Amino acid sequence: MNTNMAFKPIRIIDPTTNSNCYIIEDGIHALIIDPNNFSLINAYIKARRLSPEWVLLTHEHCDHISGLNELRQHYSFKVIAQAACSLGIQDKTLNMTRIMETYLYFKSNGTVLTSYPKFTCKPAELTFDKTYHWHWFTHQFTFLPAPGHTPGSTCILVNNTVLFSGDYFIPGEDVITRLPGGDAVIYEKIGKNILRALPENLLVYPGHGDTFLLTKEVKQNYGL
Amino acid sequence: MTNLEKYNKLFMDNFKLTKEQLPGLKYRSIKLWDSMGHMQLMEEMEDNFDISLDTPDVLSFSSYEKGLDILRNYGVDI
Repeated sequence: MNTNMAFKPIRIIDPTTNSNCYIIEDGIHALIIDPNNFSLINAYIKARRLSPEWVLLTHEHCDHISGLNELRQHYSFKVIAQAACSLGIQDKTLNMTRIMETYLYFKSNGTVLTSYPKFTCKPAELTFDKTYHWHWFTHQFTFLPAPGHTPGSTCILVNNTVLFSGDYFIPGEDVITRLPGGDAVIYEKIGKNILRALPENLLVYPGHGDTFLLTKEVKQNYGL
Repeated sequence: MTNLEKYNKLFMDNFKLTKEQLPGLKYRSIKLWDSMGHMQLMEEMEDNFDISLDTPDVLSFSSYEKGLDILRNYGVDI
């Protein structure tokens, strides 16, 4: 364990969906957020000779969990997710695999039809349904349930300086509440308040797109 | 409820329309029948008629009338 190690997540982008996975290392120990692509994650883990110990999920949509089943076949680790997220990954409608081919076709502006398998995952080993505090070596994690995009959407705050926001705060995109499990009313009543209360100047690692600083202006742009 | 009534109800509930507004209705001709609305409608078609639509059929489901033809191809008596 290196208690002074800088917190520098490695980003892995799934080429099919452009979703982000992040890997955090502490010595040989690794923590994975949103395992999106087994081959790419596995290649990185092997190259760095890492041992994955935990997988954290920001929400249940398939572009953020599509590497989970294969990872579980090859490594021994535990998954932490909001209870609703854990339920969602077990359901082809809620995890969006049922309509993913259509979604990707629309995302490509009707130019590419991509084959996408329908799958489910086993539940998370550790679940929570309200704010949950957890630590990994010297890093303090706070899981903030923020339903709206999906029932299981969660913002993961680390060391009060870094935020893994899942599909909230995607650069250039409004919050989407019309995908499977999404609920605009719940977002307005609950999710939005969680996002509004986040401190400014967090370094945001979103589920899609590049890292950025959460400024007052950014929050205003999202109606917060 | 007949299959046609079920079919109409899915359109009416999802897109906030009356029965009289359904004939001639096309994908993207109203705000609610956008890509998101389309995916929701297709999932509900599958659930209500106990079918699994192939993606090419989901994508060619471009109007109220075209949808009727597609469902008939899946054996739905409509």
